[in-house]
Amino acid sequence: MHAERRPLVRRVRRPPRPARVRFRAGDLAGRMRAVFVVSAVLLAAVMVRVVLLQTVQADGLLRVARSQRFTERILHARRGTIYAANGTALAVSVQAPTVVANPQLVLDPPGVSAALASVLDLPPARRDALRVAFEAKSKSFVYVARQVTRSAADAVMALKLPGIDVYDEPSRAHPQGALASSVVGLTDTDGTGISGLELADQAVLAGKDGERTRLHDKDGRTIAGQVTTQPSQPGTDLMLTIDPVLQYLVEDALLSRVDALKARGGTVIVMDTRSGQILALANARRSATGAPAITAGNLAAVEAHDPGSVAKAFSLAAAVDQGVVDPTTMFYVPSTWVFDPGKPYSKTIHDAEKHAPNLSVRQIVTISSNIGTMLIADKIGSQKLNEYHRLFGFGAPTNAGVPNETKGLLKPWDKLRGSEKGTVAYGYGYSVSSLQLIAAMNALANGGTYVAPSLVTATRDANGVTHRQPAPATRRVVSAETASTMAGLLTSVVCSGTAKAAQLPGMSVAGKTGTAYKIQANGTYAADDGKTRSYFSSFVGYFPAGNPQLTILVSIDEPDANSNERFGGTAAAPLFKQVAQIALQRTDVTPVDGDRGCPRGK
Amino acid sequence: MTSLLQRRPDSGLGNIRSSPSAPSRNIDWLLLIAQAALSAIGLATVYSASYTKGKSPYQYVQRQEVFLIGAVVLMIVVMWVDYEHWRERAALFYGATVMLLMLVIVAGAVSGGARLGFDIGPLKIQPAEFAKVTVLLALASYLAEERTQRITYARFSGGLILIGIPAALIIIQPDLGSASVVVAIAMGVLLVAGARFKHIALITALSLMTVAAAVVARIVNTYQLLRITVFVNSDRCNEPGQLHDLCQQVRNSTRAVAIGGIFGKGWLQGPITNSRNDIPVQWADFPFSAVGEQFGLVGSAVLIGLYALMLLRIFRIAQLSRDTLGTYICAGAFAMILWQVFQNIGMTIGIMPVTGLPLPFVSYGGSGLFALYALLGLVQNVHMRRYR
Repeated sequence: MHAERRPLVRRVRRPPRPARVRFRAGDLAGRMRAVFVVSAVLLAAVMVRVVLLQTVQADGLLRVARSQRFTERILHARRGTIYAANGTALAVSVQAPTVVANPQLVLDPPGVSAALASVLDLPPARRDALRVAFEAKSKSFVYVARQVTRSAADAVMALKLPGIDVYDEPSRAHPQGALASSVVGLTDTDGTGISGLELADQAVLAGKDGERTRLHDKDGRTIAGQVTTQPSQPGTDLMLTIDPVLQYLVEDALLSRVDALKARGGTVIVMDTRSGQILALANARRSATGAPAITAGNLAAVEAHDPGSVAKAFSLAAAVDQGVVDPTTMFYVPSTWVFDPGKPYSKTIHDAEKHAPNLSVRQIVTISSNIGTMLIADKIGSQKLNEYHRLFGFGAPTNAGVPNETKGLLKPWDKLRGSEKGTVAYGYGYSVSSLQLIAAMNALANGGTYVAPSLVTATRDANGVTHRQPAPATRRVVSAETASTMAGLLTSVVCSGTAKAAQLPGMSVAGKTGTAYKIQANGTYAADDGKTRSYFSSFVGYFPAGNPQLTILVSIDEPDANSNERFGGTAAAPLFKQVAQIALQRTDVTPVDGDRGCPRGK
Repeated sequence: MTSLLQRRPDSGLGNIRSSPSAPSRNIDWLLLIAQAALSAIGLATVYSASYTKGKSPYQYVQRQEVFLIGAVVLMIVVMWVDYEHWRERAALFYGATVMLLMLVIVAGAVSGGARLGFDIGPLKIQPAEFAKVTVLLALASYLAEERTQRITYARFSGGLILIGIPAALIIIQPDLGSASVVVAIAMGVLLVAGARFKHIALITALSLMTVAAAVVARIVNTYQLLRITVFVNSDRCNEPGQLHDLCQQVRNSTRAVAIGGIFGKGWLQGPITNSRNDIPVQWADFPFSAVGEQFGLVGSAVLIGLYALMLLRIFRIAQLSRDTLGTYICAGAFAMILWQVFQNIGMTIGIMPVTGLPLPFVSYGGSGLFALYALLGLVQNVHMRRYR
C-alpha cells in the first residue's frame, strides 16, 4: 500500500503555489462602476443626514437653538387684592426691593458681606453664608435679602458695591397688619399662597404671568423689532365677608381671654345666621415665646375635636324632630350608668353633678346630663341619630374655602363599638371642626335650615367686573317647630342652666355649653396617672332667641386645668357675652318685641 | 421632451445648415440646465445669506451676478474651441498656474493667517481655484498619451509629480481644503486611467504624509488644526475662545438645517440664517444651511438631486467620450464636484470637519465660479465633439 501511494505523496509535497490574490483594478467599465458606487454612497450619506436632521432630530435641536437665540423675561402678574366686607384691603401686592449679588463681580467678599449684613441687619449665619458664596464665585446670582424696605435698599445702593444690585419684585403687604390672618393666610416670598385663602384661592388670586421674549444676536444685542410681549393677566380680587372692625375687636377679646385663662389657644367665629357669612373668625394659639397670637392657619376648619356637651343640642333636636319627646317628657335618669355590666370591657359613666332621679327633657339639657341625653337619643336609635348628624353637616367638609379643611370623623352607625353607641349622644366618639359645629348650631338658629358657611362674597376679575358668589347651598335639617322648641330649651340653658355667664341684658340667648376632655397622648381621655385631664371648653349660641340673627362660637383650648374657669360655662360663655355685645354694636340686630332677656331672679 | 433635447438627424430645418454631428448640435442640455438651475439657486441663496450682513443688501449678490456673466463668457470660449487645442496648451496653463501659486505664497494678500489670493482692485483672485482645472487638464493630457488601458509605473510617477507640485504649493498657502480637491481629482483620473489600487493607496499615504509634514513644519496654522480637533473631539467645544466659536459655527449651521423641517421657513424667513451673523461667511462657506433652513427637506433634496443629475450626466459623457482624454477630464470633473459637494454639505451638517471649500455653483466666489464654468465647458466640449 505504501509503495503504491508514494508517488502521490511526492506530488502533494510540492503543491503549486496558489495564484497570489491581486487587487486587480479591472477594466475601464469596472472602474467607472466603482466611481459610481463611491459617489452614490457619499451623496446618500449626505442625504440621510439631512433627512434625519430635518425630521427626527429637529425637535431637540430646535429647542436648544431657541434657548440660545431668545431671552425670556417673566412679567409677574399682579396678585389679586383681598378686601374685607367694607372694602378695607387686607392683603395687597406691592413692589418690594430685593438685594441680589453677582459673586463673580464682588471684589472683597469678607468686607462686602459684613457691610451688607450691617446695612440690612442680617444674622451672622446669613452673613457667613454670603461670604462663602462670594468667595466661591461659582454662581453669578445669589439673593442677599429679598423684599427689604425701600430705605434699606437705598442704603445698599449708596454703598456702590460692585456686583451688588437691587431690583423690585412683587411682594405681599398687609395694610391692616395681621388682621384676619386666620382667614387671609400668608404667601411665601415668591408670592405663592401657603395658608388661608391665599392658598385656597391661589389659582384665581395669582393671575397669569406674562412673558417678554426678545431675539438677540450672539453678543446679546436685541434685534430690533424682534421683541414679543405676552402681557400678564392680573389676578382676581376677593371680597370677604369679614367685618374688619368686628374682627379686630374679636381678636383682641380672644387674645386677652386666652391669656387670662392660661389656655393653649382659642377660637371665636361670628356668623350671620340667615346668610351663613362669617363676619369674624379668629384663632389664637400660644406661640413658642408663650404669648398667645392670632394664627395664620385657620385652625377652626383644620382641627377637629370631640364636640362634647354642645352636641347634646343636636341629639335633642333629633328626638324632638322625630316626635318621640317634648320638653316636658319625663325620664328616670340614674346618676351612674354602667355599659356592658359584667363584661371585662365594662365601663361606668357619671353625670357631672348629682341630681334628682326623675328629670324632664328641659331639666336634662339645662343641667347637661350625659345619661339623660343618652336615654333621649336611645328613643330614636343610633342609626336615626347618625342620619341627623350627617344632616347637621358632620363628617363632611363645609367647603367654606379654607385649605386643608377637615371633614371631622363620624363613624357609620353600625361601626360604633361598646360605649360609643351611648356616648355619641352627648358628643364623644366623633369629632368636628369649629366651623362644622357653628354651622350645625346655625341650622337650629335658622329655623331648622342648614346654610353652608362662606368667607367670600364676591370676586372682581382683571377687567374690573364683579361676580357675586352664588348663595351657599341650604338644606332642611329639622322642622321649624323643632327649631322653635330647641330655641326655648337652649334659652333655658342660658337663663337657668350651665351658661348663665352668656346672658345678655335685654335679649334672650339660646346656646349650649360644652366641656370636652381632650384625648391624651395615651389615646384615652385621661393621662396615665388617671387624673390629669385637659379640657376643650366651648359655648355655641345664637340670639335673639325669638328671631336669631347672629350665631357665635367660642372655644377655649386647654384652659388652666386647675382653675374653676375651665368649663364651657365659665371659660367660653363669658367671652361669648363679650363678643356678642361687640357684635350687637357692629350689626343691625333687630330685637324681638317683648323680649327682655332672662326673667330676673331666676 | 426628447424632441426638444435630441433631434433626430432627419427631422426638420436644422439639418440644412449643419450636420447632426456638428459640435453645436451636441450640447448636453440636461447638464446645462442642471448647471443653470444650481447657479440660479446660488444667486438666491447668496442674497438670502448675505443681505442683512453686507454694506448693502446687494453687495454680494451683485458681485456674484457679474462673476456669473463673466463665467458664462468663459464657458462659451472653452466650449467653442476643440478640447484638443486645450490639451496642446495644457502645459502652458499648468506652468502659469504653478507660477501663480508660487507668487501667491510670496506676495499674496494675507487673510486669516494664510495667503490665499491676490487683491487686484475689487477682485480677489484665488489661484488655487483655477489650479483645480488646469492641473486636471494637464494630468488628463499627460495620462492620455498612454495608449493602454493600464498606465505604466513611469507614467504614474510622472502624474504624481504633476499633481504633487501644485498640491504642495497649495498646502503651503495653507489651504488644506483646496489641496484635498486636487488630490481627489488626481484619484478620480488615476482610478479611471487604470492605476493600480496600490498606486491609489500610495497617493493617499503620500497626501497624509505631506499634510503631517506640513503640520510638523508649522506651515499649517493652528486654526486649521483646531477645526479638526473639534471635529474629532467635541468635548473640547466647551473651552472658551476659538474652540468654542468653531463649534458654535457648526452647531448653528446644523440647527439652521434642522429648523427647516420638511418645507422650510420660506425664502428670507430663516430665523438663524436671515437674522443674525451666527454663521461667519455664510454666503461663501455655509450656503447649504440657508437652503436647509429656508427651503427645508424638499429644497435640500432638490439641490442634492441637481448635483446627482449633474454627476450622472458627467458620468455618461465620460462613457461616451471618443478618446481617453475626454474620459479623464470627465472623471476629474466628476471627482471634483462630488468631493466639494460632499465636503461642503458634510461640514454644514456636522459629518465632516470644517474647511473653506465652496459648494459648487452655489457659494459666493468669483474664482471658484470661473473654474467650475471652465470645467463644465471642458465637459460639454467632450460631449459636443464625441462624433468628431
